[in-house]
Amino acid sequence: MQRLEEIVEILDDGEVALDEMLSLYEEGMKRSQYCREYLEKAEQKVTLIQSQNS
Amino acid sequence: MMSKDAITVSNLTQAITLLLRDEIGIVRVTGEISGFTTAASGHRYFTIKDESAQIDCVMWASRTLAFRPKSGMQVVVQGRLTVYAIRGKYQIDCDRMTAAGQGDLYLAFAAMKENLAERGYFATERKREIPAFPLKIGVVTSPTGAVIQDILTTLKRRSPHCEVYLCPATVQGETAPEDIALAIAALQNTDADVLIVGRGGGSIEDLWAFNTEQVAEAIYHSRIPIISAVGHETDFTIADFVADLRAATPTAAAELVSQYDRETLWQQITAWENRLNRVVQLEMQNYDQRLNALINSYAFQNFGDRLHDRAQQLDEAEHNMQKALVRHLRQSTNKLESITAHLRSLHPLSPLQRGFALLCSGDRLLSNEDSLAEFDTVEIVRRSEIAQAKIEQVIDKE
Repeated sequence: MQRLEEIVEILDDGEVALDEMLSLYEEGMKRSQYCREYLEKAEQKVTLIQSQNS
Repeated sequence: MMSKDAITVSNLTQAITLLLRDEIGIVRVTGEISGFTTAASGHRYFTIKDESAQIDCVMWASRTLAFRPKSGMQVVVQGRLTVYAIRGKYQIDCDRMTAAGQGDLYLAFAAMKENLAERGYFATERKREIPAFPLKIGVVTSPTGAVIQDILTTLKRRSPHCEVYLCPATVQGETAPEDIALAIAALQNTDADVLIVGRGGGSIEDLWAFNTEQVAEAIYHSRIPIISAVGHETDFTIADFVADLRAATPTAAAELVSQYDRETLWQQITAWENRLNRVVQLEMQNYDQRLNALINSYAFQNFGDRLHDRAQQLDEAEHNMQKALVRHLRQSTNKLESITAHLRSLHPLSPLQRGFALLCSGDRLLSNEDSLAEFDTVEIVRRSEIAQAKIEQVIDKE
């Protein structure tokens, strides 16, 4: 989501070349799709990480 | 002081009170605690003693105590000597009490803290921002007890989409500092966006692990931003100072990483998508306009005309060149003719046409450099006849 926000801000600022703009747009849309999917199937998941001591 | 008349007990007690207060005043006494009790009111009553004496002590509930005193503990108390008139007892009204030897510990702690501060561990400049939309949250705390439950409950309620990496660690006791440090280190190998390191509240001893250099180092070297969540509002630990952000409680820490619930995030994504679409559409229109402007530009539109112009110029140039060439050729021809005529006039025989004669000797034409005195005979050549002439006399004209 952070990256998505970043992309929106870069594009909002303008000053990007056409091909860069298009690839950013594509990336942004992909990411927003990913975020939506992520949120949709959201169910708290707890993973146990073992440290050296345990 | 001595009076003939008997005085009342109260008067005597008051005199003793004044004497103790003014003559002895504030004392610092070291001894061993015995019979420590805390009344329902929160006031603490105990005795401190050594091998041969003891003295009663009271410490009011309003005085803060940094540890839990137990009978048999060596302590240093500081306070005023007062009299409890009702029982005719004197006692120390303690302002402060420290465990004996804690003084050294405290000094070591203060030195360590100062050292860390000097090395920039607490510098606000190195505090990293906690990501606004973390998806993976690492947690270092005890796997049992209320703290982890509080964190999980809060996250589940606000941000169920977040994945939690729980790395259990004992947060109290001798192994706690190493345990916590290793857990923080273990989470460095995950893709966690932020770490919460904490435990519930407790006495300063309970929180001790969070005041160790080992934990401070682990937090300092974490590549992932860390929120410390140790105990309650009032307790600040070294871990709190080193961490990128301090939360008063573990629940508060969980709230800090789940500022936006799912609904808000969903709306946010929609808003971003709209902005993306709008911006790109606008830009595309912009490009379209610019392209059109280029296509319609004078230069582009009149390209054919300009081409014709150039072709015409080329033709003209060619024509001019041809003309120049012919002129040049003619001039050259004229020049050649005049030179030929001139050359012809310079031919040695041409003067004969005009009646002049030449002098020759044999095949050689005599020039002005030749003296006739050197010759016996010469040939006189005219246009249509040649004469043999004998030289009789040569007169030098000069």
